[in-house]
Amino acid sequence: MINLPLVEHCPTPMAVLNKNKELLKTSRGWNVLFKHPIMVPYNELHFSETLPPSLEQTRKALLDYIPGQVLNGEDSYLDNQGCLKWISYQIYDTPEQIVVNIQDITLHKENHNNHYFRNLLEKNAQIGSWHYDIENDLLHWSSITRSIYEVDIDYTPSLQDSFLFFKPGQHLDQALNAINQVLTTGDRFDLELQITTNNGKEKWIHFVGEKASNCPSSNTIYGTVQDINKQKNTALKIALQEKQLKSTKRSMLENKRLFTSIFNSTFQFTGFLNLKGRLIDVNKPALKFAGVEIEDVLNKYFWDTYWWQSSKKERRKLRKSIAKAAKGKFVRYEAKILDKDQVPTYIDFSLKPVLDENKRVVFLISEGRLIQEMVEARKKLSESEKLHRMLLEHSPTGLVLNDAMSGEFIEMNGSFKKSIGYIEKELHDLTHPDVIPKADKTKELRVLKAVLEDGIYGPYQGEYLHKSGTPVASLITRVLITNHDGKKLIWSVVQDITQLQEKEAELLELINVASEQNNRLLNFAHIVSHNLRSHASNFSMLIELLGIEEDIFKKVEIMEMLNTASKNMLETIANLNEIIAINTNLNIKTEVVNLRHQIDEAFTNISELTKSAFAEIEINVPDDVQINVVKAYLESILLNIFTNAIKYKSPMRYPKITIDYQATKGYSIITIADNGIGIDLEKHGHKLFGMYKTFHGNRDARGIGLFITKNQIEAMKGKIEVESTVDQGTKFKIYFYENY
Amino acid sequence: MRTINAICLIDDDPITIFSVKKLIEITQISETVHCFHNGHEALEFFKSLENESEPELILLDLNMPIVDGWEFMDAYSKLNLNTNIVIYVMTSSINPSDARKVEQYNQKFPFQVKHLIKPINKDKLLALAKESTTT
Repeated sequence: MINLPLVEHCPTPMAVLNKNKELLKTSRGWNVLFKHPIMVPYNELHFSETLPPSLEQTRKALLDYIPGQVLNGEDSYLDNQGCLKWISYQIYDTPEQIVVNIQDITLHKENHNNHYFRNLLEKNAQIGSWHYDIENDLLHWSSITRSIYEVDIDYTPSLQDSFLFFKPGQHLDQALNAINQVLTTGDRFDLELQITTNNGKEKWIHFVGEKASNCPSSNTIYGTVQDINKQKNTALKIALQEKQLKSTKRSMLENKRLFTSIFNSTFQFTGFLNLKGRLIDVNKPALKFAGVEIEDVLNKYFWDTYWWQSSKKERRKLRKSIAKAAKGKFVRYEAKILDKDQVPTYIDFSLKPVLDENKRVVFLISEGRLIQEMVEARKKLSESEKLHRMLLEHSPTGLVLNDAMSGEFIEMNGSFKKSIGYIEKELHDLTHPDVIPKADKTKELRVLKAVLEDGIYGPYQGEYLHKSGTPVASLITRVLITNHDGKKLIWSVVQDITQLQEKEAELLELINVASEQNNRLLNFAHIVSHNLRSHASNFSMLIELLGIEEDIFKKVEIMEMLNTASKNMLETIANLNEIIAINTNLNIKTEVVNLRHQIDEAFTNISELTKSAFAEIEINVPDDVQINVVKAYLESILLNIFTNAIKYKSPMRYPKITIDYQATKGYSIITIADNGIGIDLEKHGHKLFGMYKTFHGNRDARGIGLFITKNQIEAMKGKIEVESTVDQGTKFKIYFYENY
Repeated sequence: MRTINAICLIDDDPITIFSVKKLIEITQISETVHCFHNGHEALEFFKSLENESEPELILLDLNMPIVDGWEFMDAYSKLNLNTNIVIYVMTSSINPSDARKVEQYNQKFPFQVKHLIKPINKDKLLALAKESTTT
């Protein structure tokens, strides 16, 4: 039998019951454990009431208890503070009593559980644990910790060694600081640090440590280690990605800003259309141009918008073009749209389909560029082209375009065609060498070479071949041009100078005539001055003598001389007048006369002379020759030449005069040959036809006959030539100009 | 005053011959005057000169038949006669080309060729006589 009062003081929780399972006594330990006041008398108390209500199992075990047994079991309950408590119970009996022994196994149980949980946690969460016994300087690592550090299972860590794993630098510093802190102040630490494992692998760990909290004086530091390399790396990667994403986002934003600014600030009109032709977006310049707001046009059919209201035709064309573009075709044309003042304006308009990766049309980009200036410039260009064409066609200078290589005719104006006598169709069948005279072909090749080398040649004088075969003298400049195909062409500026040359020859002739006339005039002026002066000086001398002479008979002689001088002077003046009359064509009257008849008449007039000189006369002039002359001049010319022939007859023979006739181009020529004394032309030729030139010392030679003859012939646009051999005879050739 | 030994006067104009001859008589610059109607006659005279004294002075007309004044001078220079002779070319021409030609002949020949413009008068004759006799 258990001494009940002894039970009462027993520190172990214990209850004694009678065989009827009525409570006899609880120990002090029991009361402390279950924290209820000691109640007396115990016998009145039912055992079950001494137990916390949640100890069901214990209560049931006691109720089911059959004496002679020893029941062992474990149970748990919530104490009045709500803490879970574990107990183990043993029920056994003595011969008179039933004893219930309770042992508080909460600590044990918790410890066990903790250990279990720790292992479970460690295993499942891969969180290693460690603890450090400060007093004994003992560091303990769990197996997971070891595996994180990649050390052998029998490795014994020390606090000192454990620091070696941390990466030198900030990681090691942080770890040292944290451990020091926790050792001195007990502050918890929770760090993410990098270590180098035993195998040399770098990894991130989550490193946590704290002083055991349940007991401030505790000398143990507990901590965990978690391999967070993956997470950390992932996190770092994510951070990096996030950063990249941010920058991408930023640059996208920037791009968008840029695009928008370009979209809105370009001079070009830009818009986006969906495949139905509705306007999705349009830039500001386009809106500004039409003076409309974005709301006015957005989501409307493009052809219904303000821009396209210039004509129905434009709208229809746009609609068709959009349909075409929606099928994937690029469309471009000159469109006429309205500006804000409703002025139709030309734009270079295009619709460009935008494709996705499957080459399906997603939307359309519509673009427009103002080309008003371009259109106007084109209009001007076409006008100037028209002008040039007109100038080309109506230029008095021949213009012709040939292919430099083949020589074929590409273009030519009217003047060119006219000057070489071909029509355009004929020229297209010919090439350049076909219209060049044979003699000029090598020269033309040289010209061609020069043009190809220098780009231009000329002006030079060349010839084209007229259709009729006659050469056309031309002043030519050749210029090389290259057309848009890179083909080499030659523009030739061809000035027909045939007429110019004729005119030049005419002019030259005229200059000759003029200068001859001028010479004659000058000569005449000298003659006049000389002849008049010589008379005057004679007068002067005679008058001086008249003053000096005292003898009356001699004075009479001088007076007679003066009379002669006066007569001479009058004669000279008469002669000069005659010359003037001839040269100024005064009183000139031309008529057609029969040449033979005139010759015969001249001989009749001098028949006395010819008869007395026994002259033989031979006239070989046909009866029907008619010439156009001043009749008086002809008579004078013939008489003068015929009388000269007799006057200067040879003393050795009877005179013979032969008259021949021939007609050449433009002239009727008579030749009068005599067998007289002749004249040394080398000596006297230059003055044969001069005034007052005499050569033979004949008393009746006046030195005026041939001078007048020459003047008369020249007045009728003819000429006179002379051939003579001293002592054999003289031959005069007189040319009468047909068209005089 | 020393007189000129002889003057040769060549001109086809009888009035000139008459007048100049008369003026020479009046001025008494020379006692002897040889007159010819053209260059040819004068040349014949010079060719026929033997021991007679040559004229110191020739008054020469230019425009003459057969042999004119220029031809005369050309021919005369070939006779290799007295180079001290002075030839006065008498002309009524005021054509500058004649004056130039006279100067050319003066350069061309060893004898002097001078220009004497008609009309001839007393003063002109006296002046040329003075010039001839002092040089």
